[in-house]
Amino acid sequence: MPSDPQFADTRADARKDGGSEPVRLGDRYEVLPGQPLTAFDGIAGPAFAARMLRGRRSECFALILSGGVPPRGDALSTLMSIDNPGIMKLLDFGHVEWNQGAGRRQALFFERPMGRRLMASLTGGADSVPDDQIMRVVIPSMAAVLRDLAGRGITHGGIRPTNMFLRESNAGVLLGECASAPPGYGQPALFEPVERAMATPGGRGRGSILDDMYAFGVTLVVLALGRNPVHDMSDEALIDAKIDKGSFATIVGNARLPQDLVEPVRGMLLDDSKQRWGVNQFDLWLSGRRLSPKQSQLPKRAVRPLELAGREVWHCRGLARLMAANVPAAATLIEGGDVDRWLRRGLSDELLAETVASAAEPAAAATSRSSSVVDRMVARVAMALDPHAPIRYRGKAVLPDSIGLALADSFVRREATQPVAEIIAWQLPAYWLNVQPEGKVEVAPLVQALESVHPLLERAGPGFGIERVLYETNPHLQCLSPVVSDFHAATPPDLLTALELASAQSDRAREPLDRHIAAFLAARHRRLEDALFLQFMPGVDPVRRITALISIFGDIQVRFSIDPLPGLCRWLASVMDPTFARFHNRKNREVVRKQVEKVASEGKLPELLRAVDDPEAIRKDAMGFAGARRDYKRAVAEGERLREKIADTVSITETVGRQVASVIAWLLGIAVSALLGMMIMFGGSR
Amino acid sequence: MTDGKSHGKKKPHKASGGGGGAFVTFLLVVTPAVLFAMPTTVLAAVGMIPSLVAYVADRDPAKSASMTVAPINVCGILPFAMDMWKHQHTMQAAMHLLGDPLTWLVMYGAAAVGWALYFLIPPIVTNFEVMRAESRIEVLTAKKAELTEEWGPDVAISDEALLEKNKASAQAQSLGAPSGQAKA
Repeated sequence: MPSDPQFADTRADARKDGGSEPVRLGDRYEVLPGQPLTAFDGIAGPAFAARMLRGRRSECFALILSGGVPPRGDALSTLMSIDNPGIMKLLDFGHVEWNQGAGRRQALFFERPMGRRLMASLTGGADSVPDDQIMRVVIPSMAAVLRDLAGRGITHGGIRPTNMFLRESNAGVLLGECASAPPGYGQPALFEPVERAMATPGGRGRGSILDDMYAFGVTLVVLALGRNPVHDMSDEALIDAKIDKGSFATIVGNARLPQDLVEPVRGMLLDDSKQRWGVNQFDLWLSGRRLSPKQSQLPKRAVRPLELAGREVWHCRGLARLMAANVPAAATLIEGGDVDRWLRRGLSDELLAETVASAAEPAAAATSRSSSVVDRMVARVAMALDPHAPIRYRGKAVLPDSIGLALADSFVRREATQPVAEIIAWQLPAYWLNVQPEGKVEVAPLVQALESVHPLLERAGPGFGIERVLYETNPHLQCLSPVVSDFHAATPPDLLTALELASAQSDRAREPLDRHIAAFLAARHRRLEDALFLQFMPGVDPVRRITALISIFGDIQVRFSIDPLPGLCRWLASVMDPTFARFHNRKNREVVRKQVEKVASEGKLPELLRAVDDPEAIRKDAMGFAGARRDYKRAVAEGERLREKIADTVSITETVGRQVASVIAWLLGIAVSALLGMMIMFGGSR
Repeated sequence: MTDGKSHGKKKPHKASGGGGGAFVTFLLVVTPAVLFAMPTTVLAAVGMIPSLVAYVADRDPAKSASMTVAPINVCGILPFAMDMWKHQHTMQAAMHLLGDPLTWLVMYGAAAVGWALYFLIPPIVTNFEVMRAESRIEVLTAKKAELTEEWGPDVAISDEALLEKNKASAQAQSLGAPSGQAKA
């Protein structure tokens, strides 16, 4: 099987994390983490022995996806329905507990091949498969498989000798799995047509049966020769050679291919996909009808070369490829008019010259000369020169139907996502579609879908931006938030369950929300309004932020009837200080805090919301607070007045003191006068 | 009065006329009383000299000194005046009383008591007022502490400061919140 060294660590980690106790997928399958099957390791994760718990109890194994490769969720159900003895049967799939229950992984269960691989490696030599075995065993099996795949509209994307097994007693060959990774993700450039080979692994698009036919053609060559005839060539050199000489001439070259195979191999290795043999032509050939495939049409050659970055190029495809690899030099060449002159005089293609000139126009009109403007101009010119090639922009080479997947790939591999975001923002897929000589009806809806998510890129804040585009364009992608990365949450209920498990971790994040979680929920839980996510914008009142968060989680818990989530509730309660702070009265605050603690332990999110968001209690508290502030102000004013008063004792003496003295004097005078009067009146003379 | 020529002179004339009216009334009422009670008037005129001095010397517009001294001063005169009214209300009796040092002692002693009240009571009242104010300040301080304890320190800050604080708090929260975002 092919193995990308980049993922070796991930596979090793996943194998180590598995523990030794069997884990179950419902009551249907059991994975035995203690029994790794390295021979069946896939690019997306390690393989382990597995047991069927019911049914016919055939031998099976499980691939445990480590999450380092974007999943192929859209095709799993269809692949499961394929019941063809020539392809490794996908028995079941689902999520299993992993890492002693501290995480979850997606598990794919396959029927275990009993025979050996046709080839162990593409680099070493091996015995060639005899002609008659190819004709009697390999071709009939593969023809049936290709017919089945074509009928279901599925691209395998992994047809190569190292992904094929011999069935028991040479009853045929068994094509390996293709369910764990997107089509062509781990496929060497040798087995991909030029356009797909030029794309980065995550940018190869959905592909078609014609791409599988090409891969099968190369496989036949390798099996017949018993070796990879171009094993000494780098991928880049191989692609250049395929462009210059054609795939058949490059791969077969002067090697002696069995006579019977020359015709189908030539047909399947045609570089023009419209000319390439499909399943129908192959079936016709199998039934004995002899077809004469056309020669590969090589790119139109100029009368004189154009020099770029020290290399001479003779045709448009080569020029486009070289431009993408040398952007500054290419920009100089375009702006200097060299490309235009070469197209008009060297290639005598006025129409293409006009197209290239219009491709460079927006950059010429741009007021600033930022690097992205130059990159965009070169990308557009490269598309105009080679319309079938992927969009090549800032190191990314992506076919338009794979923008979402390329974005997912960048995220899971922790690479820069900006180039893919700019491809969408600059509307390069729409331009790619515009420059196609023949309409690409199958790509148009995907490009339109990208146009529809374009406004999301321009909105900042959690729930929008590049993460939202990621989940909108990858409907089966799990939530990539670091908070729940171990739990492979693919649906909103999964996410809540994952957050419940994550809440028990000692190194959990401060709050159960980040840009990924917000974007994932916005994309997957359509009942939520975007306005709710605006509450997560910077600068918004933290109380509104928290209540919005609980509202969203609560809505999911109610709609999907999820069991109580006490851990998540307590996690949310731990970040609720701003909501408690909304209650000014300390006693009320404590009452609400205790109420929240009580409700949190019950794990019901809607109750939690009701506890902190009671409008009547909030109104009463606000009124009480306003009254208290008034009382405080009055007390301060009165205190100030009294202090001022007692600071000026002279004034008291001169005002109140003297008034009191005169009042006392008057009272005393009246009393004495009255007493004297009575004494004189009733007491006689002196 | 509408005559522009005489306008400037009428006002003072009217003012002096008003004052003159009062004065005439005073003369009409007081003069017969004084003439009728001349002995008492003489006794009072002599006996009330301390009050008169207090009135003249007091710079307080409310004339608090004379208002304090006078009632007690009157108490000092009243026994002698009543004695005259009862026995002999004549100038001779008045002169006789004025010739007696005891009369002077009582009348002026009473005035002295009035002065004593004037000087002693205000400090006492001041001390009382200060104590009362300090006690009230203590109550207010306790009330403020109680309000702060019940409603938090925000109860004490101004409306503008509260608004600023809420804004800063919201900003700090929203800046602190995306810790998960940064990870993402």
